[in-house]
Formats: sequence, C-alpha cells, structure tokens
Amino acid sequence: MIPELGQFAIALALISALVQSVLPILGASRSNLVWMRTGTATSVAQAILVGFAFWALMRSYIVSDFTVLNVVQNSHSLKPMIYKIAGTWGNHEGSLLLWVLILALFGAGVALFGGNIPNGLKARTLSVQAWISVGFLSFMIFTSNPFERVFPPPVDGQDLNPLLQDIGLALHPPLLYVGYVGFSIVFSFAVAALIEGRVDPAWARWVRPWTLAAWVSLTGGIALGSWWAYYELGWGGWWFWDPVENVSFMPWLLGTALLHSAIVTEKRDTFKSWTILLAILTFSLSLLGTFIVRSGLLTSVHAFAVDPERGLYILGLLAVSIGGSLTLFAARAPAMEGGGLFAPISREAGLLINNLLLATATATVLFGTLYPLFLEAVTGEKISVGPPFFNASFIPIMLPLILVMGLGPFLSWKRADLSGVLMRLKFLIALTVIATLVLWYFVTEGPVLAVISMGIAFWLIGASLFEWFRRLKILKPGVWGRIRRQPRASHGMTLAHIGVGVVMMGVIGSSAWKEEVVSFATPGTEVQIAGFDLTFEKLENLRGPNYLAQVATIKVERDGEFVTTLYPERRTYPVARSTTTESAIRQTLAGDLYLSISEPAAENAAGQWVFRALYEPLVNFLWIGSVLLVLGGMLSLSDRRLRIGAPRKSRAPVAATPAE
Amino acid sequence: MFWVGIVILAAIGAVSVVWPLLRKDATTLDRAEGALAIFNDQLAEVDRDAARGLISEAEAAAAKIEIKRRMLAADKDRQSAKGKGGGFLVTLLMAAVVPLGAAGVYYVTGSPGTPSIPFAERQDEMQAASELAVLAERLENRLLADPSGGETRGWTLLATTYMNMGRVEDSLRAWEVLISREDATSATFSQYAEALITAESGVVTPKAREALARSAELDPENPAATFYLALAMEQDGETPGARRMLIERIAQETAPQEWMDIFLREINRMGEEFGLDPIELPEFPDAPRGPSQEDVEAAAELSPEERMEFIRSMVSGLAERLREQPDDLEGWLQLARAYAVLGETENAVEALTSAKVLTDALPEDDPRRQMVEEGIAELGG
Repeated sequence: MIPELGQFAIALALISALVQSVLPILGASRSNLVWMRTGTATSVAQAILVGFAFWALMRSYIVSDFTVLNVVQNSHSLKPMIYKIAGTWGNHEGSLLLWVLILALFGAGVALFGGNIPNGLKARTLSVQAWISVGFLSFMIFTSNPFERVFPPPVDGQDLNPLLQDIGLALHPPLLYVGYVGFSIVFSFAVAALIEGRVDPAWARWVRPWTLAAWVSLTGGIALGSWWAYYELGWGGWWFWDPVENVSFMPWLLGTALLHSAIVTEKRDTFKSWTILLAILTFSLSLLGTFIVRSGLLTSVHAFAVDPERGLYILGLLAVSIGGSLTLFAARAPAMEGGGLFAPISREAGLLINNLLLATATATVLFGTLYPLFLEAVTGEKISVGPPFFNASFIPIMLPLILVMGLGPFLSWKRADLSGVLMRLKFLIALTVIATLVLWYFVTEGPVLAVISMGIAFWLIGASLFEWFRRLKILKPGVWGRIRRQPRASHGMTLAHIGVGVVMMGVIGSSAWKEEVVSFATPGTEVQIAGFDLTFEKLENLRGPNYLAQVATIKVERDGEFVTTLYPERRTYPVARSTTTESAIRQTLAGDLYLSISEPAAENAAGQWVFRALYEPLVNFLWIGSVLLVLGGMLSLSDRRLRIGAPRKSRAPVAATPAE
Repeated sequence: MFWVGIVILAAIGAVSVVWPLLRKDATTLDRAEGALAIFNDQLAEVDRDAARGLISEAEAAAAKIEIKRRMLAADKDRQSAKGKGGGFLVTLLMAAVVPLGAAGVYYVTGSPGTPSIPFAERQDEMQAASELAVLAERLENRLLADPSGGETRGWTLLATTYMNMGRVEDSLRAWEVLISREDATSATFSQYAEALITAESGVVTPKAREALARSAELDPENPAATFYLALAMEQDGETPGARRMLIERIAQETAPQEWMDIFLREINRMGEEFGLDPIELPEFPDAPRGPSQEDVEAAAELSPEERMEFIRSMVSGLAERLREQPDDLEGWLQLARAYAVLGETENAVEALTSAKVLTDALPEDDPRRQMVEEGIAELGG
C-alpha cells in the first residue's frame, strides 16, 4: 500500500509542477496576483509530496519490502541497517528521486524564505524551477520508476556487495546532489530575470545566498568523494581526473566564478549579462554531469546505444534547457549591459581576470572529459585522457589565478593604485621569495615547478592573512570590536582564500614529493621509504564477521627508534566472492605513510606478497583546506546582510534603513 | 486506509493551488520596493566602510551619490498597479486538474492493489522456502548416493524444484545429469535449454541452441523448442523469420492451447518493431468450446442451484455436439471431467470409453492414452 501511495504522490507532484510551470508565469505577465501567488503554495506542496514518496521508498528499504523491484535489485535482508537506508539513493531510480526531492526542497525554500523577493520575479523563478521539475519528474516516472512492483515477491534481494558498503559512499551523493541541484535555483533566477528583461543589484543579492549554499555543498561533496577514494579505494590517490570526478568539478569551477561575478553585479551594477550567462552555464554543466553519469555513457558508448531510452530522454532535456536558456540569453542579454564603469586596474578587473581564468579552466576540463566520448562515438576508438593532459593544461591556468587572487582583495572598486598596493606588499613579497628559497634549499629533488607553486601558495596565504590584519588594524586596541563589526562575509572570504592556499599545498606536496616503493615481501623483508625503516614481521589469518582476513604486521622505525606498528589487510568475502584491500595509514600533518598488501600475480612467487608502501607528504592539508573552504562559505552564508533588505510593505520608499 | 492516504495526498495537491484564494493577507512586494531596500543597505555599508576608514570621505561621498542615482532610477520604474486579482475560475479549474491528472498518470504507472509485504512478515514463507531448500538438498544427496545414478523422475523433480526456487545454477547441474541419459525426451532438452537461457539472462547461447536442436529433433511439435528457437533467431537479427516461425506453429494446431498466449505476446512484440498491427488467435472452429466470458459472468450471478443447472445445460450442450463430431478427443476428455465434477460417474465412464476408441489409435506412451485408461480404471473399476 505505502509504495503505491508513493507512486501516487510523485504523479501528483508531476501534475502540480505542470500547473506551476504555467500559472505563476502567466500571472506575472498579466499582473494577476492570485495566479502569481499559486507558485508559493504549490512549491511547498511538491516538497511535501516528493518528500512523502522518498519516505515511502526509504521505508520499503528499511523493512526490506521485496514487492518493490528497486528494493529487490539493490538491497538484501542481511545488509546492515545503515546500508539499507543508504541503498535508497545508491541506485539509478532512487538517486533520481533524491534529485527531484532536493529540487523540490530548494523550490520550497525560495517560496518560504523568499518573502523579500518581488512578486513578479518570484513567480517567474518558481515557474522556471517547475519546468526543471517537470522534466526530471517525468523522466523518473516514465523511464525509471522507483516504485515498480513485483508480485509475488522474490525470496530475497540481490545486492550484497561489500565494496559498496561504505559510509563515505553513502554520504557523498546527497551532498553532491545538493550542490548540483542548488544551482538550479540560480538558473531559474537567471532565466526569470531574462524573461523579465532586467537585472539589477537587488537581483544579484537575492541570488547570492542560493549560489553560496550550492557552492558549499558541492565543495563538501567533492572533498568527501576525494577523501573516500583516498582512504577506501586503497590506491593512495585522491584525484584521478576521472570523468565522474570531472563532471562534479566543472560546476564547482564555474560556480566559483559565478559567486565572484555576482558580487560585482551586486556592488557595481555591472557584469550583468556575464553573471546571467555563468548562472545558466553552471547549471547546464550540472545537467551535463547528471546526463553523463546517469545515461550509462561512461561505461560504454555502445551500452548507451543498445538501451538509449533513458539517455535520449536526458539528452532531450539537456538540449531543451541549455538551448532554450541560451537562446533566451542571446535575445535578451544585449539590452542588459550598462552600469558602473571601471578602470583596467581595479577590483572589478581583478574579478574579471578571475572569471576568465576559471572559465578557461572549466573549458579545458570539459574538453578533456568529452573528447574521448566523442572519439569513441565517431571512430569507435577508446582512449583515455589522463592526468598528463590535465596537469599540462589545467595547472598553467590556475597558477596566475592564485597570484591574482592574493592581490585582488587589496584593490579598491572602480580604480585602484597597483603600484601603491605593491609597495604596501613589498615585505610580503620579499618574505614569500625567501620562504620559497628556503624550501628549495631543503627539497632539492622534485620538479622546479613544484617549488614555484609552493611559493605561490605561500603568497596566497600570506597575502590573505596580511589583508585581514590590515583591514582590522590588528595591532591597534579595540581589535575584537572591529572583528565583530566586520561583515561575516569578509571573514568568510579570507578563510576561503586561505583554504585554497592550504589545499594547494596538499596537492603539490602529495603529488610532487610522493614516494612509492613496491616490493615482494616475505616475513623479515625490510623496506626504506622517506626516512622510515619498515620491517614486514609476520602474516596472520584472521576471521571477521563475514570475511576472512590476512593481516600483515609491519614495524615502523625511524633512525633506529620505534615509531609505530601498522596492520594492512586483505579481506576475502566468501559469500559475495570478492576481495578488498584495507590499507593501514599513519596519519600526521607532515604526511601519510600508507601501506597495503596484495597477493602477487605470478604463480611462482607463492608465499611472497606484493607490499606497497607510499609516503604522501602534506596530503592532510587537502582535507584541512577543504574544511576551511566550506567554513568560509558557511560564514559568508550566515552574514546577516543577506537576510535583511526588504522593508515592510507600508514603509515609505526612501526611508533610511537603520544602520546595522 | 489506502483511500484515506490517496485522499490526503490529493488534497495537498489540490488545496495548494487554491491557497492564495483562501489566504489573502500575505505581504506582497513589487520590484522597486525590493531594489530600494537593497540600495538602502548598500548606503549603510558605505557609511560603515567610511567610519572604519576603509575608504576616504571623498570616495564614500561619490559612492553614495552613485547609489542614490540608482535609487531614483528604480523609484521611477515603480509601477502604480500592484497587480490585479481575478482569475478565480482558472485557479479552481487547475486545482481540479491536479488530482485528476495525477490519477491518470497513476493509472498508467501504478499497480493498485499490490500489497506491500515487509520482510519480517514473511516468516511462514521463509520457513517454507528454507524447508524446501533442505528437502531439495536431501533429495540431491540421495540421488547422488544412489549407485544406479538415481531415478530419472527424482532428478526431474530436483531440476524443476531448483528452477522454481530461482537457483538456476543448481538446476543446471540436475539437468546435465538428465540430458546425458538414454531416456532424455524432447521436453528434457527444451527445459535444459530454458535453464541455460535463464542463467544467461535471456541470451540463447550456442550450448542452448544445441539442446534446442536436439529437442526439436526428438519432437518437432514441442512448442517450447519452437519458442526458444524463434528467440535465438530473433537474437541473430532475423526477427521477421522468428515471428513467422511462431505463427506457423500456432497454425499447426486445431485447438487452442495454453502456450499460445505466450506465443501471441511474442509475435505481437516482434510485430510492433515493424509497425505491424497485433494479431489474434485463429477461431479454431473445430475445437471444443469452453464457456464464453459472458457465460461465466452469468454463472457468477446465479444461486448455487441455478449454477448447477447452468453447468448441466453447458455439459449437455457439449455432449450434444460430440454426438455429431465423435472424433474430438479433447472434447470427450473435457466432458468426462465435467461429469466427474458433477458426480455423474456413469456418464463420465461413458465419455471416457468414447475417448478410448480414439486413444487406442495413439502410440503406447502418449499421456492421454494413459490418462483415459487410468480414468476408466478409477471411476468404473
């Protein structure tokens, strides 16, 4: 019964979204208040209905109701409860339902918290949001129905894969989806503004919190995915330039650009059409990501061609939404420019460079991701574009970006005095150069580019801190008051910029100065890596709850002194007939010592184990930096200036708002 | 309960559309008011920055002038009309569209009436399944331990039981024993092929084709062999040929058979690819007719006595027809079964005797022949 109610609820949500995609926008163009206001209540209703459907599906997973096909295919009565719950969105149909749920929640968010948005803009935005909902709800209902039933139910479910039973994997998709889908609201705002034919600073201010919220989740989602790959996959890498990673990284890059250009639109009433374009493109890339991951295109272009129904549907959605919005943009944008002028050296110009570089970087990643797919579709040849391409094309774009990033916050709006700024920064520049040289003195091996990049990271962190100190006059009395009076968004900026510098240090350290030793080992074998002496002491067979494990004991010493003992294992799950590698890691701020064992491939090497030791310097800076980025974003989001800004209805138009 | 849930959900969908009609006091805002608020906010920010000394007094003054200029522009845009009401009829219509449209979508996608059964409530079934599994394994062990290799009947039971339990791999093991035997029939090979095809998720492998060829050789009329050979043909890309093969097989029959429904579904599925209209089963004028749909419905409305009378009239109709066409074996068997159900043993034996005339002409191992002989022995003996 409950699954059928869920089915009915999504059917209701679809029709409700259809009504919402017409009535409010029609009301806005005919200034019919009643029609305009229907969007608010229907948005909330859709969130309730889809939320109910999601609960219905989740309940089917929790109680292992095998009359629901989706549960049969993706669960098993013996799974631990938490993975039963996570199974709800761990598959195609369920993840689409989650997608639609987040979409509906964001729509309801605009409806409920958007009291300060003018009627017309709100009605149009909600209608555009409903168009997206209609697209995805109909896609789900007609091609990927999560409530497909089987009766009589089979004896038990079919999925008991131990590799996929991981808490990181359970949390990663929802966060990523909040990021992807969050940009839909920004997209809807942009399209609504185009239809209305006007973008003013007020528009940018309404858009900013939604962009920020989406950006924060996307940052968290990407970082969590990377963290999962590093700790659970057991390969010792945290980023592989894999298409699945790239499609989440592209909206992040453009979203970052959008965040910055929206500031210019808000404060200086310029960059309008550029901001709109970024809003459209960012969400388009999110859609593209959904298409690439959800259509099965990645596994194989041919698999896609065999069962093209789903892929073609999303491709159609993609064509309509991107094509339609860009056409609208082409028609309306030219009338939109104007606003504040600025000199070549100014904060606007700095942000323009930021935007151009970020957009170029996105284009590079897009090319590297799509080119192999096109090539395979056209010639049938399967190639992979790997890290060498991305390193060679992506890094040279990012380095100047980071340089400008340190400088940007010192520039004033409209026109800035670059030589003056550089004069003020001369001590910092000298300090950066000295620090870089000191680093070079200690680390002579490794690429020169790594040392220079490290210097640039020092520069960014130093400049961000210096700007913060200067702004707050940190050495003069009353500094706490000044910190409190500063808008939180500006602290957020400093924190996020430092976060980027810290992430960069982690990236450079763990890729340029990474050490790796692979050897055949038997008990007694000794291996040296990064100043550590490792002794392979023994190998034991142990029994886990549902697996058999072979555990190696490895003693770690440095300069003859005992440091720690590590136990890498290899697990065999007899029921699922699969094996996993559980690495052992010694985590310190300076770097991770990462050990794993696996059986040798060669027959004649029986009794010998492939023993892999990795040293990844500074790798934890990645996670610390990511946390700083997320915190910075959240701090900025919590800035109270984002929430006020609407007067009571009765107030005189130009009455001064009391100071904060 | 189900309907209560449906009504609540539908109400949420419908009421949300008419919500603005029910609550009119919500604050509304036009564009210029919102913009002005933001500009005020910006003015305050400039003041703050100036007070903190981030920008000079002159810069602050310039910035404030610019913001105020924008405020004036925004104020000019202010529309005097704050929006009209009206449009109630359309709004009400839309509120009705939501549940009705959803009912339509649900009609296409839903499966009303399918119960939801949590795993924990299926203990009896689990119990039965695990008992069945134990029994099946015990049977297999006994068959394996048998020095003569185990009875064919036992192995067949094991193979079909495993198949029904969804343990295709285990079932294949049993079938492989069976097909290597002297007494393997056409049905043995076609069921083995079916297991192979199931194991490969519907792909007819070369091994399965071999088994099907053997099955068709032993009995060219085995419908299962024809069915899967047609499937193989379709997978080779020769859909029209496969479709023709199925149609021809149906045409060979003079009476409707149970398997024809599945054949028909496949024929129409294949035909759909080429835009062919669905076909229906031929009339089979010679075939004995069962009660029609209307007859069954009519019977359902009768009292028990009336129903008995109705069945009798159907039976006598069949007996009447058989007197004119006495060489209809299926008809005689049906009549015998009907008499047996009505408790008219004598008539049943008589019908079976008429059937026996026909079955005596059949080969020794025909199941129908055995059935008739057993029936006579049971009822008349």
